[in-house]
Amino acid sequence: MDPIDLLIPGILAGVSCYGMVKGVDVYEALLEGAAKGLEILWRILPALVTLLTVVAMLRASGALDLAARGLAPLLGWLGIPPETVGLMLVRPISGSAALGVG
Amino acid sequence: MAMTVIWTGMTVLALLCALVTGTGADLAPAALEGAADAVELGLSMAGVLCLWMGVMEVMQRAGLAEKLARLLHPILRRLFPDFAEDRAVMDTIAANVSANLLGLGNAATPLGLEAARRMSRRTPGVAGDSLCMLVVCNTASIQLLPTTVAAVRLAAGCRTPFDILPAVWVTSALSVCTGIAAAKLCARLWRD
Repeated sequence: MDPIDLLIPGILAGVSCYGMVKGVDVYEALLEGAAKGLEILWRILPALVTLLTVVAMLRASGALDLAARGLAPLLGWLGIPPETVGLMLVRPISGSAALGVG
Repeated sequence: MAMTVIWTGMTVLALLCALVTGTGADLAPAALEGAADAVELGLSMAGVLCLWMGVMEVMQRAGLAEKLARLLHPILRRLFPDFAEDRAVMDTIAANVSANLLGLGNAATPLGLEAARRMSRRTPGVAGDSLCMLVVCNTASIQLLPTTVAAVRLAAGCRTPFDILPAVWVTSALSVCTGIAAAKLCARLWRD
């Protein structure tokens, strides 16, 4: 087992303990934060749908392959795998949509 | 309007490219699949997103977020010298940076927008150097816990989604340093 494996459970337990010591209703806060997470998802979903649709179209049309082939010498020289071309094109436009492209 | 141009341009490009390469028949199913995939991805990310938003809420209520903000203050003051004395702006930026450190870029966005709105009050219509720096720091942020990326990896079937941590620390530190250096350089080249 790598010590890094314990980082996430450690943070979950550590933050909860700290909160409890400080008199915070930890569970209530967790629920409220999770609800905010759902709100965020709700808000980024429309952008995710539209941009993933158009990126899927670009991929199916062969445009991304063409771009990857055109950029291949440059990418090869930089050591960047050509599969990431779609991600490189989308990430500057929308971070949310980039999640689905990689 | 910018997004309108980009979206329309991409659809037209896909259509033209499909005509040239003869892949026209694949386009319609790809579009439908892309839309469906987006929802699937959103749902598979939901759990991790909710969990970490919850952890951040606990940190905020327990005063840990404030401690982090005080820790970050010396760095942030140097990055945003125009607003070093503006308490409200600095607090919003600290919250924005904290969310980015936790890999919650989507949660950081509204905080970043709030900070940008307060900053732009001083120079309406023009993006000052500090505002540009804020955009750079949000685009290329150091991630201590890449929770969102971990969610994507988990959704893709990875069983140890956090084993990329050291690599993420190095690359995100490099990217944010490059971004900050570029922003500082440009601010010097184009004085306003």
